[in-house]
Amino acid sequence: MTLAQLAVGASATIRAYPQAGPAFTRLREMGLLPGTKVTLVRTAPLGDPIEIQVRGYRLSLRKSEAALVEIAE
Amino acid sequence: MSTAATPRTAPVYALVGNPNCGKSTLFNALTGLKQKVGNYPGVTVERKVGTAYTQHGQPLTLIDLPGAYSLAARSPDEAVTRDVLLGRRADTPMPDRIVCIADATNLERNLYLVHQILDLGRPVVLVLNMMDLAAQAGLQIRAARLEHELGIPVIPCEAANNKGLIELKLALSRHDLPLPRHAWDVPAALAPAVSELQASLIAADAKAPLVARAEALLLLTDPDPLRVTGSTPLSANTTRILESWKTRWTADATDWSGTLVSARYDAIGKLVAQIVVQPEGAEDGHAARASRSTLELSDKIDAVATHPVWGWVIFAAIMATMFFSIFTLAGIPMGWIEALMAAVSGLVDHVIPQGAFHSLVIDGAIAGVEGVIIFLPQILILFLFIGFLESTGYMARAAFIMDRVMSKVGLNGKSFIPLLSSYACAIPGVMAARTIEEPKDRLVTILVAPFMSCSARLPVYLLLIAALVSANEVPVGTQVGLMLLMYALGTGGAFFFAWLFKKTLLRGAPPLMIMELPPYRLPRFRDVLIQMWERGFIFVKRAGTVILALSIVLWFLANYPKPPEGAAAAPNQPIVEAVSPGPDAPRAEPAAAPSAVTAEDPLAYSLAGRAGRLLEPLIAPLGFDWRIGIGLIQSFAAREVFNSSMSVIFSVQESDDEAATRAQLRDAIRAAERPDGSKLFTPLVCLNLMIFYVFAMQCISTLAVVKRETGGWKWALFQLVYMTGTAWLVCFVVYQAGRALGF
Amino acid sequence: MPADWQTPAAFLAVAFAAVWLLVRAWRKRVRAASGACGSSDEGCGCGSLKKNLKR
Repeated sequence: MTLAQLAVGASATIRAYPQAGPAFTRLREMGLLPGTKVTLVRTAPLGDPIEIQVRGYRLSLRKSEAALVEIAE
Repeated sequence: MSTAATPRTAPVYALVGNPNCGKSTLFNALTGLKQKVGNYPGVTVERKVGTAYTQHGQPLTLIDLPGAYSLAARSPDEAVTRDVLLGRRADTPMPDRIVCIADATNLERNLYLVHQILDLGRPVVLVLNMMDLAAQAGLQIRAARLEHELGIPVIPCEAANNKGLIELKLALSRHDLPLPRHAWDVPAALAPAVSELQASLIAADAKAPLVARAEALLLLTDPDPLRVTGSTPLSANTTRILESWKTRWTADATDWSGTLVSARYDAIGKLVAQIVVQPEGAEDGHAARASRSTLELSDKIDAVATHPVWGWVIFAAIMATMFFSIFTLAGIPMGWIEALMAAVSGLVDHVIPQGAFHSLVIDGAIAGVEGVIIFLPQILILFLFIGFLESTGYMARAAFIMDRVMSKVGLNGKSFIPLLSSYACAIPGVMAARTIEEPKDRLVTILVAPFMSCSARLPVYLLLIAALVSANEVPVGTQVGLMLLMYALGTGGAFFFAWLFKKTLLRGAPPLMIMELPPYRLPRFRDVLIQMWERGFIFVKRAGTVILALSIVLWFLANYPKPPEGAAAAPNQPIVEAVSPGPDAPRAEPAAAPSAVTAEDPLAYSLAGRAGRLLEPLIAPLGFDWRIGIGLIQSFAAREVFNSSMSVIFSVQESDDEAATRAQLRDAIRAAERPDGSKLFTPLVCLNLMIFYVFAMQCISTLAVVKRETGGWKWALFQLVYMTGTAWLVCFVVYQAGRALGF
Repeated sequence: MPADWQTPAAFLAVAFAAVWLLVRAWRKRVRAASGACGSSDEGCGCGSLKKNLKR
């Protein structure tokens, strides 16, 4: 399962994400690391991007990026 | 300034922190209005330097570095922060001391940057800002413990309430700032690589030992070494070492970058666990379960502000208020400026007798400066709104909402703000594109931003619509509709070309949209006002210097050389024959000319007139004649100059009543005839002229800013050519089709 | 005062403005090329900063 598939309001733990995509370094530096707990807070009015809660703050990212992040509930 | 009084050794402090951590508020609180705002050469990232005074009155130089999440920079802003801290910028020597600002409500992520900075081994003062919000959230932060762990002064602070500033100033004036005791073990798998790279960076790239270590760590964090090194390429030796390690790690599936970032967060996690006492009942796990109450409030607001229906309503309402204010509210102070300039004109008129100098001052200098300075209220209102939207946190929501729309043309939500600002003026719009990380997206945004109809086009539209339709013949709706059509055309053009560029010229990875959504906060009036003041000051300064000089030169071009004395009797022979119109415009045969051309003769003789005639064959297929050509040329100084050049050309008497002047100008334009006696400004020509103004790049100031922002003339010239080319093509099609249809 | 002092005065002003613009553009080029600060439009305050930093 990936972060893009998480339901609104649901939480999960990041399992891994491949060293791919233009964003992965920055996502990691923003604190999205294997073992980190994330909560999907809401999606934008048009369904993309999504807003997540991670390490006590809010971050928005596109579904195309979220789809690279593997999670476990 | 007090440069003389400043001792040569006044220490230089760099202010560093994440975006939204209250860095600017702290900077403003420390320096007040003793700030100088400018740009870092080459990149046009805003550069703020200020002077603060210690409790003993000693001056300190403070550099406010752009907000950054990491030294592994992704945007031009972050690259500047990294380069200054690593001592790479020739224009800004390495700061003596670093003041790190961390948001106490969100320590974990904020400490990531601090952790990287501690690697540099420079004296650091850590400011924990927003302690009040942290307390509200039930977080108890043991600053003394953190001070003990890191070995550097840690100052709890509430910059917004001016609390903790005295303690901070005392810490800043300490002579014996300790170096950080930075106990952090690089993961064992990477340690040999780090030391090898460090050794090579010292030996082959001539870096200082600690800078070399920090740089080695960055090279292992960011997969793209080019992004780390920026303009200072690595030596062959270092590149070789880096490549061989990466090959080795790839072979045994070591995720070096992930390992490094994880190791940092592990170290930070341990630290935070010791210093942050969680509120009662907080679940364990990640330490920074912070800012509960602010997030709750933000959630309530966001439930509406990003709601699928209400979100759009609020968004539209805010945008509408902003435009309404820019277009209407600004009218009042604009009237004052007009009155002031009229008074100055009157005074000059009274003091200097009629003559060339009189004309230069009134028609050149004052008129030229007024044409630009009149937009000061609009600029101030725009920055007032932007300042409020930014400092409350709504701006990030606007980007969040708009991202999907922008992604349709290959841009991201962050491009929305630059495009929006461009409705007022393309210059702040182009500058606002700095926050876009991906260079290609930034370039596309800059290239299309001037299509958004700026406020300088507004007077031109107003005049031409008035000439095109008359209020008593057609319903008002038609006029408004025409106006909206122009705005829609420009916006559509911007989106079309953004899409086209992303598909062809600047194809790249889909843009990133990793953006923090900070909690909503009350706006900081001081910060917003300081920003407005700075913008206004820069704008007025430009109007008083460059624009003034340009206006004087333009005045000369429109007035000289004067026609020879005797020529008034038989005026038009030499000129009209010298530039005989091309076959496209058989109507303008000289034989049919006499009555129409005589009135404008001195103008036709001037350099501007000659240029207009030179231009005529080019614009005749669009239905424009040489007099319109002069207006088009002069529009390069500022588009709204078109109105004043039309009033000069068709010799409208200025009157005290502005509405009367406008009506006169409208009537004069309607009456203007071609040499064969047909009307010059037919409805088709008016419409076409407006379309030309929508698409054409006619603003030297914007071109200069684009040149600066893109680092060279290449893209600025490209923009000039493609935009003006589009304008020509569209106008050609519209005019020829319109003629064929019998308009 | 001569009858037509205005034309020479106006020409002088135009020449001054033109020269000032040219000098400005040239100076900006030179400073930008040398990597020194001040290549931007607005004063960036680096002059005084540099003095402070020289030791």
